[in-house]
Amino acid sequence: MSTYIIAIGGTGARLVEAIIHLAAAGVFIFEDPTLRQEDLHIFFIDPDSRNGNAIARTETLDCYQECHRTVRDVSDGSDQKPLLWMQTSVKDFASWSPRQRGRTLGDIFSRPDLRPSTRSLLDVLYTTREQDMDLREGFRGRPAVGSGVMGRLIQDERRWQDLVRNVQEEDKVFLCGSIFGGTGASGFPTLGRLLARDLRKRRNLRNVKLGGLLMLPYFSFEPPTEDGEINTHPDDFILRTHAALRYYETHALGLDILYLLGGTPSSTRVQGRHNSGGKDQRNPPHFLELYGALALRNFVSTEPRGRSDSLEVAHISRQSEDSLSWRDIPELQVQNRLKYATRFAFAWLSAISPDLEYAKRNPKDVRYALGFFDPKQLRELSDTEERNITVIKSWCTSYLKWLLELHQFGTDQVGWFNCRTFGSLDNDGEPVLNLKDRNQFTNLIPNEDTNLYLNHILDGLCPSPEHRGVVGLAKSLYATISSRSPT
Amino acid sequence: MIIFFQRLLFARGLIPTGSLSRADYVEEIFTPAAGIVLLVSVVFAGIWCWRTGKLFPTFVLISHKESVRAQWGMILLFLLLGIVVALLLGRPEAMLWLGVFLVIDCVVIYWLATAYSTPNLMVPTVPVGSWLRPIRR
Repeated sequence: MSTYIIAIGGTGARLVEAIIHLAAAGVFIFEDPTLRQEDLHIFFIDPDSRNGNAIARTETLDCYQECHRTVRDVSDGSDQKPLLWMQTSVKDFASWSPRQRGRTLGDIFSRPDLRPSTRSLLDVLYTTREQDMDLREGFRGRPAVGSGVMGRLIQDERRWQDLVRNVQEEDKVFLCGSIFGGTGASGFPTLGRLLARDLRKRRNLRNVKLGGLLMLPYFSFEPPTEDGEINTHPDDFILRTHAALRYYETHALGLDILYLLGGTPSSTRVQGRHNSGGKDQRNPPHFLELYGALALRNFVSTEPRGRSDSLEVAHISRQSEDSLSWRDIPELQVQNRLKYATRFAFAWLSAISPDLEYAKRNPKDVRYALGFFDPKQLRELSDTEERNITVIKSWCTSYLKWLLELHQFGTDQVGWFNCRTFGSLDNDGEPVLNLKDRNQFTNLIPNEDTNLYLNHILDGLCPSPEHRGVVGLAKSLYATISSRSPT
Repeated sequence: MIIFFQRLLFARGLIPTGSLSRADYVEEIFTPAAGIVLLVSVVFAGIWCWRTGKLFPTFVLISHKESVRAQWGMILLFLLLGIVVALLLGRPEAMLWLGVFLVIDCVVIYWLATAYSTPNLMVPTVPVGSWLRPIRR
């Protein structure tokens, strides 16, 4: 089955990043009643498609897809127990930027060509500055502008029509974005309503499950300097959120379920200077985005309770106000899969990758690798195998850096992993991995009473005719980690 | 097998046994000496086994191989020194041949015992251990 994710704006991009990482960890595979997995299709909407968040999302997706293809390509379906890691198909359905049809609101509505009465109406709804605002870097916290632009353009957009045409009965559509910014705040209600209408009226699809995730203010930034430009101001977030929530209270969007996620004032920490858009608009990952991805899991796994006028609202809260522990992750299955994926990434980067490099000089010394390669193969790895090592290494790096940033953000103490065992942030706040000490493997998860040493994992790798080469080694590593980790 | 073969060399008179009869030499000198070497080698291999068991969880081939191999060599050296000292103190008949045989016995027993008892990932620390314990796919 397929789930279409409509990610709106910068927050949507950050949520997608979290969704991709959790998809890699196997969070969107369900074991009950049978092994069932969702194919995820991402429709990305942002007027500023070159902002830092969107670039990060694209890089993460590219990295995931390449690794997914590599791992899946050699699978012959003969595995006794299918892996969870890297099995979910995540596809880039489309990206759409409303500004492709004009640089300003006035351009998009063809203001000079409008009848005088319509032009006057436009002037009543939007100030001259808003009409002339350059949309290349988003809607700058002006939901009214965004709603107007999206409502005007999306229905004629081929990619939107493709989306409506592709969705089948029993599929699911999930919208996500922020409630307090510009693009998300404007796109969410506009697109949500249009989608519900198009699916149910145009295509007569009654069983498509529709859901949404709205992120309440959960980060902040230094206020922009007054330069005459229209800009987002963090002090407005709460007021806007309040107004938007009142709107959602009284206006049904046609969604089956709506998830709201927000932070306490302590977690909405100031995180750097304001950027109105562009590549500098790159916000570090936040733990709430992981919860956003878990909202998607919840949405995908639960059956609709039957459509009614009242909106179902899901709710979760943490146990401690200023810290997060494993008890705050709602399902044991999710906890375990995150642990397995993290242990895998750590093991690959700290041990497997350097050992395979060492094996080029001393192929018979790396004993666990000899189950997957001939010594001659180890000495001269083929281009394909070299590429496979690099691809898996890239995913591991991307995942661990994301995790590292997520743990370091804000004043909340995120206590899921001991991130100092694999890296730290440099002076510019950029994540730097340091995996020289592979024996930190056993300290990766705090307060876990385990003597799970990496050497016990490596010694337990099980080669088989199906598990050969780099991919076989990776699969066997994941399988061994998941079978030997304490639950 | 090696000890049996060496015993045979003395018993058949292929190696001179000095003032002692061949039978007496085998019974009173060679057999007890070889037995002690066997026992001591196994004990030292046991020490190695215990040591590698302790080292195994945190052993990193790339950085620890040489130092752990040096430990293996040190234990063997102690073993050989013990034999040499015992021979010099005892000054038995046919000391040269006996010494050569005991050293060979000691090295072979210790090497075999350590190669087979070392945890799989640490086998490369035992010289030529990988050859003795190949990986079967």
